[in-house]
Amino acid sequence: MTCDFDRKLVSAHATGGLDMARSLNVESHLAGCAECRVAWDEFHSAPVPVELPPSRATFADLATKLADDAPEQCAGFAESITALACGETEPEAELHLASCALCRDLADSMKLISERIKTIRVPVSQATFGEVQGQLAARPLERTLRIAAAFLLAWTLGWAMYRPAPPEPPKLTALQQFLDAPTRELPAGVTLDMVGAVIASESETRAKTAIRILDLLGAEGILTQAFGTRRALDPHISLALVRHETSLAFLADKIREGRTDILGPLIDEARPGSAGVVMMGLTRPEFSGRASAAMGRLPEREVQVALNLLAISPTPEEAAALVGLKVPGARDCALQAAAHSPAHRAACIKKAVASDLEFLVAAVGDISLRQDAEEALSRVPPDRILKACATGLKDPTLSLGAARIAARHPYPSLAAELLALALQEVPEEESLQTGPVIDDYDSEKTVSSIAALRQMDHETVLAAARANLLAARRPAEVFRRFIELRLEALGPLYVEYLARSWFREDAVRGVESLRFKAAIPELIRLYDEVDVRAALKAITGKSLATKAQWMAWWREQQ
Amino acid sequence: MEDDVRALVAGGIRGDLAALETLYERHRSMVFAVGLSVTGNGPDADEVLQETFLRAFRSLADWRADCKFGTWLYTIAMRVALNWKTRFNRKAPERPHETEAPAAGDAMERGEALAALSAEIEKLPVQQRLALTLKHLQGLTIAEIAEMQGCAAGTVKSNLHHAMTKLKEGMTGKLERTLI
Repeated sequence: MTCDFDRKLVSAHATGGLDMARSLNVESHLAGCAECRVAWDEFHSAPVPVELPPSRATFADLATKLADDAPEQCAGFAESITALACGETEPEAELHLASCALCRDLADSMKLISERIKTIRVPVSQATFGEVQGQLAARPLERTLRIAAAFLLAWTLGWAMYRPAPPEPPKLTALQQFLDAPTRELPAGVTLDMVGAVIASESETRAKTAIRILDLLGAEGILTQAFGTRRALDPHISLALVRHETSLAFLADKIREGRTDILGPLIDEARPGSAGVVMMGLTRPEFSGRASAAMGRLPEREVQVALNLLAISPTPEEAAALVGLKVPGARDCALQAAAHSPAHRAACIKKAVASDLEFLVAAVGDISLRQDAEEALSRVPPDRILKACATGLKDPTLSLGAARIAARHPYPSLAAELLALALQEVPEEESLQTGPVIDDYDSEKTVSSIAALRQMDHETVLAAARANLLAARRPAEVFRRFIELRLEALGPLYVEYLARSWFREDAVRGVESLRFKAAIPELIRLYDEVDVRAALKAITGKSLATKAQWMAWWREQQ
Repeated sequence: MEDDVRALVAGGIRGDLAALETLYERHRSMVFAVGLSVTGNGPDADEVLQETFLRAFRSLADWRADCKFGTWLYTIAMRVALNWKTRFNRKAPERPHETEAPAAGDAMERGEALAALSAEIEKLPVQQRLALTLKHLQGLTIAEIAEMQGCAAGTVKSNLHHAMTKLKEGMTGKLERTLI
C-alpha cells in the first residue's frame, strides 16, 4: 500500500457522509489512484449490514445546532472564513467552523471557487527588461517630439483662433482712382490730408504716387507731417521737400537729429536748391566725397550762397570741411571760417597740411592766419612748398601769401614775380595803416570812418576801401557796408569785384545803386551767370530780353 | 531586504543596468497583475508594465525609503493602469483569463463553466479584482497585498470576500452542476 490518502474519506464518500467539496476531492483522487479505486470497489462489494446501530441523536441536539448555525451569529466571521478558504491562517474562523455547519458550507463553496480560480490560465507577460531599457534611452527624443508636436498644435490652434478676418474686397474709392490716374486738380471728395494718409497706409507704389502728387501740388506741410511715419519712404519725401526752400531747415534739422539715411539720396540726387543740405555731408566722413562731387554739379551761385552761409558761423569741423573743397569760392570761405577762433584755425590748418597746401599759402597772406600757416609750412618739404607757391602765379588769391613764402625761401626770381603780382592787388602799406577803417566788428569805428570817407576825394576813398577789404576779417560784410554808403568813388571797385564770384551778387547791386555806366560791359559779360537784368535796366533805362540783344545794343553805343 | 532594495535603487540612479534589471524582475509580476486587473488583457497589461517601470526608473530619486519600494511601485502601476484604461477605454481584445484546455469527457461543460467564471471576474470592481488576482494568481498573502496597497489587512480581506461572494452568487448552480 503506497497511497497515503485517508481511506476513511473514501468510505464516508461511499456512504454519502461527505459534503460536496470533500466528495469532489475524493472523486478526483479516485480518478487518478488505482489503489484507492480497488479499495473503493471492495467497499462497494462488501455486504451491507443487516442491522443498523440505533441513533443517539436527539431533537434537543438538533435544536442546539440550529441555534448555533443562525446567520447572525456568523456575520463577523464571513471575511475570515473566505480568507481561510483562500489559504490564509485564521484560527478563530477555524474554531467557529468546527461548530457552524452553515459556515462550513460557506467555507466549502469559497474553497471550491478558490480552487477553480487557480486553474484559470493567466496571460503571461511578454515584456522584457530590454524593451524597457530601450525605451528609457529613446524616451527623451520622443518626449521632445511630443513637446514640439504639442507646441505646433497650440500654435496652429492659436493662429486659427486669432487670425484676423480676411479683408473685404477693396472698393475703388475716388482717392484710389485719383492715385491710379492723377490729375492736376483734386477730385471731389479727396483732400490733401487724405492723399497724405496714403503715405502711411497704402502700398509703397501708391505711397510714392501720393508723395509725387503732394510735391507737385506744393503741399509741403502734408509731406512734413508724413515724414517719419514710414521710414523706408522718408528719402522720397526728402527729395520732394528739398525743392521747397522753406523745407530745407526741416530737412537739415532731421539730419542733425541723426537721420543720415536721407542724406545719401539727397546728395546723390543733388537737386537745385539742395546745396545747403548737401553741404552737411561735407563734415561727415562717409558722405564727404559724394558731397564734394555733388557740390560741383549744383549751380555755382547756389553753392556759393550755401558756402557763405556755412562760413558765417561754422563749427571747427565744418570749417575744416571747407578746406580742400574743389568748388569755386570755397577757399575764401575756408579762410573766413578758419578765422573764427583758434579752434577753427587749428582744425583748418591741420586739414590743409594733409590735403591742401594752397590753403596754407593763401593763409600766409591773411593776417589772422599767417603765423599758424607759416609754422605749419615749416614742416612741409621745400619742393612741395615751391610747387604750391608756383600756383600763385596763376591764382591771384594766392599771390600775396606765395610772395611772402618765396621771399623767405631761396626762390628770388619767383618771389619777385609773385610780389609784382601781389602788388597789383595790394595797395601800399601806408594806405593800409593810415586810411579810414570800416570794421564790422567795431561799429563805433565804422560810423566815424564813414563820416571821414565822405570828406575825402575819390582816389583816397577807393584806396581806403581796397585796403579795408584786404584787411577785413569778414570782407563780404565790409563790402556790403560800402554799398550802403552809395559812394560814387567806389564804382570802379564794384566793377572789379564783379569778377570775383564771392562778391558778385553784391557788386551787381552796387553798380545798380550807383547807375555806374562803366559796369555795363562787365554786366553783359556776366549775363548768363548772374541776374544782371535789373541792374542793366537801372543803368541804361532799357529792357532787352537776351544777352545777344544787349551785346548788339552795346556795339551800337560804341 | 529593504537595505538591498535601497542599494539597488541607488545603483539604478547611477545608471547601473544590472540593478535596474534586478528591480524589474523582482516586481514585474506584481505590476503585471495590477495591469491585468485594470486593463483586463495581457498586451495592455504589458504596456502598463513597461510604462510603470519607465516612470519608476526615471524618477527613482523621488522614492523615499520611508515607504516600501513595492508600495511605491504599486502606486505608480495603479495610476498608470487607470490612466491607460481612461485613455483607451477599450474592451479586452482577448479573454483576459484563459482556462486550461479541458481533458476529456465533460470537457465542454467544464470549459464553459470556467469561461463563465472568468466573465464574472471581469465584472468585479477594480479593487476587488485586484485583491483576487494578487491573492490567487500571484500567490501573495493578504498581509503582503495590504502592505503593497498601503491599506489595512481587513480592507483586503473585505475586498476578497466581496469578490468571492459575487463570484459565488454569479456561479450559483454552474460549478456544482459541471464540476461535481
